[in-house]
Amino acid sequence: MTTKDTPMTTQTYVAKITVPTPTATTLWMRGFLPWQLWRFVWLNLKMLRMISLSHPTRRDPSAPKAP
Amino acid sequence: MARVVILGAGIAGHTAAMVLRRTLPKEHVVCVVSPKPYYNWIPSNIWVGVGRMAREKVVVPLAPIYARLGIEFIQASATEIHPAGNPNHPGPYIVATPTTPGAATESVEVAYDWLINATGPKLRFDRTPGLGPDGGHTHSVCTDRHAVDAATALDAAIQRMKAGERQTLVVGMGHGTCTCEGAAFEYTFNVEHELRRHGVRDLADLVYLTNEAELGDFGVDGLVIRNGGFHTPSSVFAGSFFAERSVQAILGAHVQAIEPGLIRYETLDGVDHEQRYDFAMLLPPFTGVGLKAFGAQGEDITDTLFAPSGFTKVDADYTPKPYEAWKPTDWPSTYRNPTWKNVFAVGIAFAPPHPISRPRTSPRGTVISPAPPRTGMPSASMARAVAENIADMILGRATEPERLSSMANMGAACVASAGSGFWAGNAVAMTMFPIVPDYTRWPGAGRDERFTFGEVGTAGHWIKLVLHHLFLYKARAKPFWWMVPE
Repeated sequence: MTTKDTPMTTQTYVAKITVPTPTATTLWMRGFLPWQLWRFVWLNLKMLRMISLSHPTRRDPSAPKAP
Repeated sequence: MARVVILGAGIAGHTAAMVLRRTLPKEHVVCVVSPKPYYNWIPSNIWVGVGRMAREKVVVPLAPIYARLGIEFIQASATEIHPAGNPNHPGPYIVATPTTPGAATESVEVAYDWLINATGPKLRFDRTPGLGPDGGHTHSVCTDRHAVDAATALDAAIQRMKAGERQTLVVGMGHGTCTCEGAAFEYTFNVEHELRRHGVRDLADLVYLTNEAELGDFGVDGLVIRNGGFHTPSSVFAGSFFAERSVQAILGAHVQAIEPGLIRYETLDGVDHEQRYDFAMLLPPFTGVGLKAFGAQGEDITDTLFAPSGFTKVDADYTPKPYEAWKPTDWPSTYRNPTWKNVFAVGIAFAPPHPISRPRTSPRGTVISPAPPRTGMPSASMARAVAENIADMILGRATEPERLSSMANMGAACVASAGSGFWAGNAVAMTMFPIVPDYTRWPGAGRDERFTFGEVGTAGHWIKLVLHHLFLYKARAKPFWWMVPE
């Protein structure tokens, strides 16, 4: 369902964007269950790692206190 | 005994209340004041808005949960804060108007020692004539009830297409200063998925109308995503998805007015345009809920607590500065009001120091630039940090907030559903770290490429489903809810 000739916008501010579109293989892989099960595990692990990095940090004891 | 009052029971307020209740001994009071009797898991409103999920699946009644946990609940809408009290009421207190149907509407005074403002936004449909479901001509998915109405209108459009009538569907932002572009992006592709499911895609012109200057800006100045062996700008990543699904995009747009069947808008080049529509879901701009603050003698001190936007001032650097001078350290980390040290604000309720996307105006001076997003995962993270800081100070473990939770040091996961259905569903899974780019730590892209990535697939849809069930489980305070991370 690639639509390379479809205009990207209905007005002229961004007159034309040339973008890559997925191949038939890429589209198939997006729904291929064994691959998606692996991506599910991998994405969850990456997200958990990112969440762990986002936990609040402790104030540096040597930093000046807020006024 | 300390008394902590939380205004609002959305993702931030509900998280703060539950963390405080779990952390503080029972002699301390945790009280939630919220105008709605239920919690709404807003990210799933998207599925309600396309008719694929019942409203009841995204709301949770609060009273039974709070009764079980030992949290005081007042169903009321806060209107005033008196941080210094007054001669008749020596301690700080808030004034709220009850919203329980059929109950007395006389205002109540609620005393506090510590206050967390988590009221979320006021939905400013009034900023654009004709915008919104209440008296306007467009739909919204901002609340559960709005989403139900949007689903009904979308179904009517689909039925017209089934009868052979061509329809134009417009989804996006109803004003040049809106935020939450991710939600509009998500709704666009859910609608697209539904049109295909009903076999009417060829009869629909689907248009995404946004204040973003580029696709994939999402109010965070865009991302550089690690994907397929390339560092890909999110404008290309998102643009590819638009091209694949044949969705037209109108970029850099400020909606001026909406008439039945016609949207009038100005673009960043200063030109006026019109867009016809048969169905439109356009999000409104946000402001604070309009709380007022009064001093001990009854004088108006609203400006000590609130920015002109109505959002609460916290420990951010609000000094006006150009885009080039913005720094990650401008962003707050304790969410404490600098004047009233026992007042905090989390989620959308805190005033950001400036946008994250670069500011843009049209030649006529119209601001057309996304406001910074601070919903979902970031709002829950900061709510937990604030709740734990307050608990530490009440229990004498700290004299100052020790946990720092800045959006410049916090990541976000955005799983944008692009169609429901366990096997056929699809989602764009994106993460970024941090939300506020830091060009000193990560020159070039401003974010850590290991945790700034995106991909499309059914796995993303499963993650979205898991998040739906996990966060509603947590919202219901079921066993071990506290183990679910923000």
